[in-house]
Amino acid sequence: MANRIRRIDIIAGLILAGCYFAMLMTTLDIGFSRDEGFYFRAAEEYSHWYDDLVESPSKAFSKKSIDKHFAYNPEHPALPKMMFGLSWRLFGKMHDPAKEPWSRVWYHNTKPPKPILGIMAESTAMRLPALILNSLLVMFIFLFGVEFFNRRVGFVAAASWMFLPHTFWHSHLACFDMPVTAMWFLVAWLFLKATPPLAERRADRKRTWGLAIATGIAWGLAMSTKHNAWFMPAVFLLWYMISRWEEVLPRGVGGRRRFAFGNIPPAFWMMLILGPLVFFLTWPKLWFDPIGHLGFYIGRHAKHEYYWAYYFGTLFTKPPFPVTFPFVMSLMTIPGPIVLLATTGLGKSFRSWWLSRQGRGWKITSPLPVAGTDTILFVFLNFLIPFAIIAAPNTPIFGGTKHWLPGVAFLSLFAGLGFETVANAIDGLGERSRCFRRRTVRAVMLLGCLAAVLTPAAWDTFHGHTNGSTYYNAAFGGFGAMGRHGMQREFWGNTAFSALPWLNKNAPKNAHVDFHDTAWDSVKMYWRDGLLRRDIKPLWDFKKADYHLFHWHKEFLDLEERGRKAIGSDIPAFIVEQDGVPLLNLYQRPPKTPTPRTLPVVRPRAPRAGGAAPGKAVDKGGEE
Amino acid sequence: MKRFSRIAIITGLAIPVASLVYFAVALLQAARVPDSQDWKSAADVVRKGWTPGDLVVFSPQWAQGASPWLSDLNVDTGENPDWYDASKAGRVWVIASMDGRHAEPPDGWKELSTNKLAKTTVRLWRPPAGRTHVYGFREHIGDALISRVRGPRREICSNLKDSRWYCGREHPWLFVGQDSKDIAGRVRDVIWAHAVDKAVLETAWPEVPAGKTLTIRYGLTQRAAESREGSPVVFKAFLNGKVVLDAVLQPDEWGWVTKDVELDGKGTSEVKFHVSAPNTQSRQLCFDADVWQ
Repeated sequence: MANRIRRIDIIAGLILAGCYFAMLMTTLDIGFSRDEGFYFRAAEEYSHWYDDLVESPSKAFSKKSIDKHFAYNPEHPALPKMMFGLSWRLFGKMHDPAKEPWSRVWYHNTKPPKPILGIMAESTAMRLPALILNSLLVMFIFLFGVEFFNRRVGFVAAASWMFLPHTFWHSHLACFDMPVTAMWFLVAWLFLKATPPLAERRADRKRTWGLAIATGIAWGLAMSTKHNAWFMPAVFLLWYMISRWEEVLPRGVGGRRRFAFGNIPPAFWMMLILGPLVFFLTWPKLWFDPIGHLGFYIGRHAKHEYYWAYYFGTLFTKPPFPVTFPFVMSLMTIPGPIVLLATTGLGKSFRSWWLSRQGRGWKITSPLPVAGTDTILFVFLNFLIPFAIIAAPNTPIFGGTKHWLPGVAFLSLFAGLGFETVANAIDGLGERSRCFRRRTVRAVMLLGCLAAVLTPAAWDTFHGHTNGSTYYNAAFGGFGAMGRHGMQREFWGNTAFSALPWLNKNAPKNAHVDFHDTAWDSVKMYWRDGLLRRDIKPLWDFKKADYHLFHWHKEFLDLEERGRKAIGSDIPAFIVEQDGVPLLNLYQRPPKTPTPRTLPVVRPRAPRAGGAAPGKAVDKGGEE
Repeated sequence: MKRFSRIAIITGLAIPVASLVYFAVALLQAARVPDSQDWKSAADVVRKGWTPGDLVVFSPQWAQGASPWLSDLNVDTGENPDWYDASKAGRVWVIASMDGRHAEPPDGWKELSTNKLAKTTVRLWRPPAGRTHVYGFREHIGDALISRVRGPRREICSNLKDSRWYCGREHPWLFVGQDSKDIAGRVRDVIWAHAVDKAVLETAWPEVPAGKTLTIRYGLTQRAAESREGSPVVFKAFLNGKVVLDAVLQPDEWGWVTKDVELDGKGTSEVKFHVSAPNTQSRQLCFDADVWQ
């Protein structure tokens, strides 16, 4: 039987979510990644559909209107981009083309819409829906912990999640990876609530069906967020088949097993029925060509191109990719104390499971505070399977850690369980020593220990948050691990953000800048947000550029060499670095030497003796 | 009976203790990162003692934050150090920062000076004495004779443009000449000699000055090794017609191999390289050679 969530828990969850939201809003100095640029554009284009909707709803639901507004970025569901676009229209402070005629070209069809509330920067307005949903995830984790473990586990799990530098960085973006993480967690939580043992389901059918319907709708929304959600039914089914198979294969009168169709949990049915329906309804591209577009969508992601991953000095460009990748990358990119807690939690859970299985449950002196016999398995599978999908040697690795983040959210619950070991140790001290017997003393010790594990993680999260996707933990050398171990440094062209102040200050009027890996739509947003001088002209050709921004990727190194030659400078004029590791080199074309009015007289030099190497003369210089 | 064993208590309390140690390490790592003023100070030391022919490298090599302050100097900005190439310079400045673990060049180098600054250390080194770089094959690519040998037929490549020899018209990758490629952990200045279909690609220097040692370096590009395409590449070197190197590079072979060949030190020599592969797909072989006296 799960614990009851009380009002105070919801308030505490909302406070945690509010804290996270405040953390995100005060650290928005994070560049626009390539994909975010594409989604900015998609959100803007999709948002014009709302104009059709307001002016003429019948027109808005026509194929012509859908094809017109939703043509861009059809390989991802529309829902997040529709939300980004809606938020942009409501809150964004767009430029007024009457006052700033040059701003027209920064907008779709050169027509910026009129601001409605106009209270925040355009990029922030685009990011707002993701910022809110990602903050709510903190509350989901806390409440899941409260319901299925205890308040302490919930709190430590939520706090651990808040202080993960990579997830914190991703939480800022108008992208899908964090929203789908939040949706995966929500769906899993609802599913687990809706699927208690059969007797409990039967005892409260109304609640069971209500939660099942919520699960189905949430899964549909999750599918409409990103395709990670397609794996969820397999996770749930696997869990159900391992832990509850006797419900659907009970023994009959003669002792023989029979298939009990009616015992299948309603959550599965609702996922089957409502999930696809919600998915269909929230993706306009499916309305007029459901089979064709779904085929395109599945085909696109089933045969996705391979991105390159730099991993311990080897550039992986095609399968087989290392199976260890998601596990080792997580080990390196989650702060050390959280890794310790999560590993302890996993170990403790495994030990409990193993001892119980062997009939030696009496050996468990401090049982896990878990509600429901199968909850740990459920959390474990939801942690493991997102990792396992990326670990498969043929799955494209997209360079970073974002594609198994749904699993990390569940790993944070194990971190919460791991902290129980610390709490038990303090209780153990109380058993052994009189001075630790007082509750106040133990409470202070517990808070001290909590601070000891969370403070380093918080520091890791805020230190270098602008480049949070390049974070590696101190056990591997901190950010220096990028250089020391030959790991991926920059991921998605966002580091140009940190070079903009230098360009704004130093570039001459109308300078041409090759932005390299930064997408055009990201550059447009830099202009719109006033982060880039409007006279600076972006282009993606270092031969014609005055400045070349080289985003440090291993796979681009040959290109960097060509860029240097084309620009005519081997030495960067400016480097964006994080803790000493260059992430972006800015090369500046040297000023042209003016042609002399009279040609210099060239006199033949006396031949050198014996083909002396340049080094010889230099050696002499060294002796001086 | 006590519910919690001594081991459980120690394990539990070890987590916050280890976390505090971790925090101390993290703070230390961040504290020793040089800022722009530190980089500038290191660059100032280099500039003050600079003489033509010097080279600047970094330790660790990836920590190149000082480079914007060294704009008109000779700076190695490769990802990893290459002490062999550095030894061609008269003197080498090493700007060490953070752990600076890789500050020490190999045996034979002599430390001339050390400047310890707040967060960096600038050391000046002299490459091993007693040997002089006489001839660089890459620099003298214009002296080379390039040909494609198909059985008894020999096709001479006579179109030299921008230090690259083409057999006929210019081609993006069918040439022998100067290039810079990512090989074995860093971008290197090399002679590009992509294997050619059904032919042996021959690059010959007919009059290489006398010296004591011929050093040959070769390898497949990072791209070639990671693509794992084509077949093994045969790379041979000849000294006055005699085979001195016969290597087979597997499709995924990663590395930049160095081979020293003793020379008699008398008169000029003919040095020749052969590159061939049954399947030439992505067989981007690169090499370079030097003569040392």
